[in-house]
Amino acid sequence: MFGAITIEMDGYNHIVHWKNNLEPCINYKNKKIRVIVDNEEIYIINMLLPKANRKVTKDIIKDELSFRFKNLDKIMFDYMILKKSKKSIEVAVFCLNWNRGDFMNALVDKGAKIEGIYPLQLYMLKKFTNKIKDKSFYFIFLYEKSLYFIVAINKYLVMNKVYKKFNNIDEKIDINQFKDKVNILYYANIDKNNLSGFMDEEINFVDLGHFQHADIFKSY
Amino acid sequence: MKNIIFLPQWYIDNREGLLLYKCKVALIIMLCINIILLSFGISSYNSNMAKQKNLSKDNAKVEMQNNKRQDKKEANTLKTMNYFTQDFSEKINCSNVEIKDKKIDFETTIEGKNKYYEIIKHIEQQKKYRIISISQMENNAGIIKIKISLEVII
Repeated sequence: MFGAITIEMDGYNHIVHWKNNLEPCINYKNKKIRVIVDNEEIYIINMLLPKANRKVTKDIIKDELSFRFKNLDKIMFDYMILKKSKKSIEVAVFCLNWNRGDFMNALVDKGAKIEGIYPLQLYMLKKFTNKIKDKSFYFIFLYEKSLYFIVAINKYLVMNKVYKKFNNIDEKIDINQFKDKVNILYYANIDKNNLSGFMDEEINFVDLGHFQHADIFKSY
Repeated sequence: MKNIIFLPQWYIDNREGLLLYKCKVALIIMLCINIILLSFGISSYNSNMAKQKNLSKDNAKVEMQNNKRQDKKEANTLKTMNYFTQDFSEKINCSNVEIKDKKIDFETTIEGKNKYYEIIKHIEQQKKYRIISISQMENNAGIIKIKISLEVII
């Protein structure tokens, strides 16, 4: 289930829990807000599309997605161009299924300007950009009993996975398909012993240290 | 890594609609300002043109008046010439006569005081002239040359 929704507001962070409503005493009007969502996986789909302008490309992607998902209203998507040729483009489409429309409505009603909705794994990756210097890497971290796993190749997000209730995990993470390209793993908030238990490959481990809830989200 | 930003479609549509609306309003305001500025420009241009026209009219008037004054002056000179010929030319020996507007300068020769008084009396009797100055030029053994300048009063 969902843990918490975090709002970043003008550099400060305000944490709103899943069941609670927005706090009425805070003035949200004309404030830039980032909504950070945890325990959400991003679906990545690669597509080959004809070359067109931005708006048409977006429409084509929307049509494509409507075949794959039943209810497109809850799906949010963004895309990134991987390859360009004369007649076609190869894009990676990132989809997020998030059904808290009421929460967004409440924010918009209070006059907030929403900059974007960020899944926690991407937000953490942004926080650690200074420390991660490789182009292709694995990134793994533990946050509130969930394990987040990211694979990036040539600075593009290729795979991400969220293991909820990490303690009970039995399966091993399958990283065979990226064996040739990636040979470094950054990890945070987790012990190396725990990791080596369910990762087969012998790769370089880089520790990014432990962080606590308050370190990333400084609340008021 | 490029920032991946997720936003619901309805929010994006709303935002774009608002942006379009703002653009339209800004455009309309700009147009209004342009129209106002243009109208001001046109009116000031018109007023400038009108002023220039008035100025040219005034210039023409001034020229006309100047011409009239010139004519009057010439007429005056002729009139004084007439008076002079009527009153003096036959009775007094005149030389170096100069008539300009209402002023008359001439030179005469006199012999003795009586002649001098006669001339002065003659001028005063006419009641047309005012004597401005009488100056002595030469004195050759009783024959005195004097210069008289007069002004016609009428």
